[in-house]
Amino acid sequence: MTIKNMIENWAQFRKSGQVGDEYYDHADYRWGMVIDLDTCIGCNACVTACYAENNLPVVGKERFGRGLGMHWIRIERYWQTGEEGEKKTRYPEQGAQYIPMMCQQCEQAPCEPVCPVAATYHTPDGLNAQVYNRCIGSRYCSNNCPYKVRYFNFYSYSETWASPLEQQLNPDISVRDKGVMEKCTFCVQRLRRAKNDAKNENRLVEDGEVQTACQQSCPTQAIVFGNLADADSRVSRMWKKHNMAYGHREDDKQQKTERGYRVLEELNTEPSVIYLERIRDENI
Amino acid sequence: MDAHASVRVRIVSDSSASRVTAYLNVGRFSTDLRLLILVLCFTSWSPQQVLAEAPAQPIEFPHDVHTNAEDNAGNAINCLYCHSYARRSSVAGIPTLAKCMGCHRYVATDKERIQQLTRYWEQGKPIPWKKVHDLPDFVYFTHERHVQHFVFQQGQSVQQVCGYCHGDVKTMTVAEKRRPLTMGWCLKCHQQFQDNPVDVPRPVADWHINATDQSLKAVMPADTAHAEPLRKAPSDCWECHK
Repeated sequence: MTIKNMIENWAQFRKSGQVGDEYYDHADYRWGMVIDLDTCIGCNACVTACYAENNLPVVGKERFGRGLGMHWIRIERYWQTGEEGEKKTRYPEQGAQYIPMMCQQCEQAPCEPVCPVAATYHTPDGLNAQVYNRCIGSRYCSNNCPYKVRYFNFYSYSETWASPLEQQLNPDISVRDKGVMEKCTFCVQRLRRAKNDAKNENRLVEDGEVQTACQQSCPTQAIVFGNLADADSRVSRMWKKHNMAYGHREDDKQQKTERGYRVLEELNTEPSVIYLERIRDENI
Repeated sequence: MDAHASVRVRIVSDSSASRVTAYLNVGRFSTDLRLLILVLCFTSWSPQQVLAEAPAQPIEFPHDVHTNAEDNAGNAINCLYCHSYARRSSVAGIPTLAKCMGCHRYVATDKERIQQLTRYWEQGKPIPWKKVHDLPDFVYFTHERHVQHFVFQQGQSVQQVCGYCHGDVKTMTVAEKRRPLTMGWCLKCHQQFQDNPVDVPRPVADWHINATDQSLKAVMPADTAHAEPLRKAPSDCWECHK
């Protein structure tokens, strides 16, 4: 990417996702995701799968306690106490609620324009990319990320894979070293592999042909991933069913069955990940 | 015993003598061997660049004898016969010793290098070839996509397609690095037909080689062959760095 391209990329900020956006017009792919919180049981299988797929280091108890964990996807746990502000809810206590939180692949990502070296940028297929060999470790992106899903290598974790553990590293993705920011990539190595296979046969990637590691390991199939540019894909149909699209707000909802929402929607980051609300007794 | 023995038997049955058209003429390499020793002496103190250009291989493998039909007795082995992973994998691969021995149990067995090869074979050790074209670990180049696109979908000759990045290996003895293989060099192809080209198109002399092998389909004219397909060549960072 040249300086010219870099500035063009910055010029796309808060413009992508709008009608007539040239940057995406030619694109065959636009990756998106749906996470159904009603089926998520908070089992952490997705987190484990992500560690295995993406060469994530295990940092140890002490560093994890200091918030240095390198989990690209984490299960956030909320405990509903039966009181919401002043108002008592109908049921005294509703227990834990889980949200798998990974990079939301924002269409208008706050992390992108603050990178001084354009190590993070938007790909034409709608991914928020992080180029490790370009990153200088300024950590502006992480500070500007409202979801706090960017992870910085404060240490070199190569000792994590003491022999023979290095044999389990995924060869399709870099092993990051000290001083580099990293984040969820929507398993870009799998996307590229699927695109490669499809191109060999002169076709596009079909729906369901490529799965992210978290989706693949989810026992309740709470995570749906696919191509939003394909109107017939499962993820497109789910977005439509819950009246979600880029630019839509929660106020636009028409019916109670539309459960889709985006985390921190008011920041206008336009994430490519939508969540489906958990169904409570009182909602029925 | 018998895993090893059974492998051998299988290899022997694989090697059909009809594939080999003639004995290889490798006599002139005795001079080159002396040169090689000279180079070895010099490389101990000469700049890094000399090592990078022509690493001293355990066996001085002559690419031209195997592939260049013009100055040899009709050996024109396709690049993809030995580097068979190039069409289906990200790495092109060095052929197994078994593949060498498939021919060389019978062909040119009186030559010194073949006897060296046979010693490796009998000891059951792979030949410790040195890597000539090495990319950094954060670059995920794929041979498959390039070979599938240019050779099988577009029908260019294998020699030309390999030659884009490796030079005309058919005229080399030991493979040398003839192209820089830097990112700017890659992008010169990948961006020249984009909407906002960063550089002037690469001159034909940069990549064209006089390919002598047959292509799978009709050959396109040299000046138009690349315009349309390369327009779609990705110039996105995440295609190679991930």
